[in-house]
Amino acid sequence: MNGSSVRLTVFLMALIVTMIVLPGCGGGGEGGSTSGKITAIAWEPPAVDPDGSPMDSRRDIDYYEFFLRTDQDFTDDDLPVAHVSGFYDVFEPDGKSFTRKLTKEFVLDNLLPFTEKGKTYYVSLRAVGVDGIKSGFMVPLAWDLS
Amino acid sequence: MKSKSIAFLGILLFASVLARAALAETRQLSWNAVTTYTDGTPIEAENTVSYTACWSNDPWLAADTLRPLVSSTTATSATFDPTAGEMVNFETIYFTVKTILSTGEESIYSAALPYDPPSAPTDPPPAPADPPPAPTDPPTDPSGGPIAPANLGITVASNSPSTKTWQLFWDPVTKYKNGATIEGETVQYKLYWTTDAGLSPGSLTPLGSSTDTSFTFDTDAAGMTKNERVFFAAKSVLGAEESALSAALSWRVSNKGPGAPNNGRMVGRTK
Repeated sequence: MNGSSVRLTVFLMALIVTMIVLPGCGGGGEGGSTSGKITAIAWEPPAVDPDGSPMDSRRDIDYYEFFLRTDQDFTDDDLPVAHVSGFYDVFEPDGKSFTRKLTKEFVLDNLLPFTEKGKTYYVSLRAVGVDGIKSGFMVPLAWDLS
Repeated sequence: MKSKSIAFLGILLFASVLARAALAETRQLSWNAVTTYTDGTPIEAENTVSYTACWSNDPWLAADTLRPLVSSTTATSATFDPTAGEMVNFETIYFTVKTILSTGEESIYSAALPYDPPSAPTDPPPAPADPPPAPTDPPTDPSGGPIAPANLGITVASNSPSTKTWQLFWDPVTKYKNGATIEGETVQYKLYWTTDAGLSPGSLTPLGSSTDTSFTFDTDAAGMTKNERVFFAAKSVLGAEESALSAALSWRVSNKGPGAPNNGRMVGRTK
């Protein structure tokens, strides 16, 4: 799958998941959502490659993969539960001109279909380059759904 | 601080700006006059407001890709001929404008306004005295040639003996620029690479050609240097007609992939 197709696909995936999940968000705070509040994971795009060589997040990152586990032992065998494009476009009121932004945040409620209420999960992500090469895992973060 | 906040607010590019001007091949780009700083404070009367408009083939508007359209004009529009310059080399370009005050303060560049330049000028039509083509002749090009390849991507080549062998791929071109479907003809694709983010024609080095929608190459054989920033672009070719360049694919030669995202944290958001 090429870069643009991936971006489109992951955007659509995220959009569809959002459409499915959000109507149910009022369900008694299921999955850690409390009324009016949602949890997001934020990160900084990598600025260097594994060698420490400078990289350009805007040009070199295609998308991010999100992973969930009940422990912190993420491995290459884990399958991502979501993909999100490395950038998005913010359109001006004219609907024509836009500003391109780097993706730095993702609403975890989108991952609720992959969880069970009452458990604590660990969330991590990997950056995927335009040539398909993946980064290591970000330091996992605990996500308490109890 | 005012110097960091001038002018971006009022410098929106209109959807309607690219109307045909009086001359057949000219277009006009216009924008709102900037009269205030972004905090709403009026710009002082003695402080002259001027504008610099640029275009780029990069939707990120990277500084090394910006080309001037008009510099330091006090007018709020610029007329240009898209067929006269290098715009026709690209399938899509992006306009942007920044504000400059007489004090030297400058705004950031405005949001990008995409624009599809017309096809490159083609050969002149035959003189009226020429006989009409025979009925069996292939139809003349109805549209200025094929559209440019899209969705250029790169991946390490399968069965590659080393990571110096990579594969470019792209979507098949099936349409003319006017939307008509290409039938009964084989589209050829020409691949180029350059270290120039602006894809200036003189900088493009041919990488190869293919009638398939992928092309495998060796970075050493192509003369690329590891970790060097290069840009790939492609053209589709039908007979004597060439498309504009595709959007550029930026790549760091044989890189080891991105570093891991960092500074991860949970944040609360209101629905």
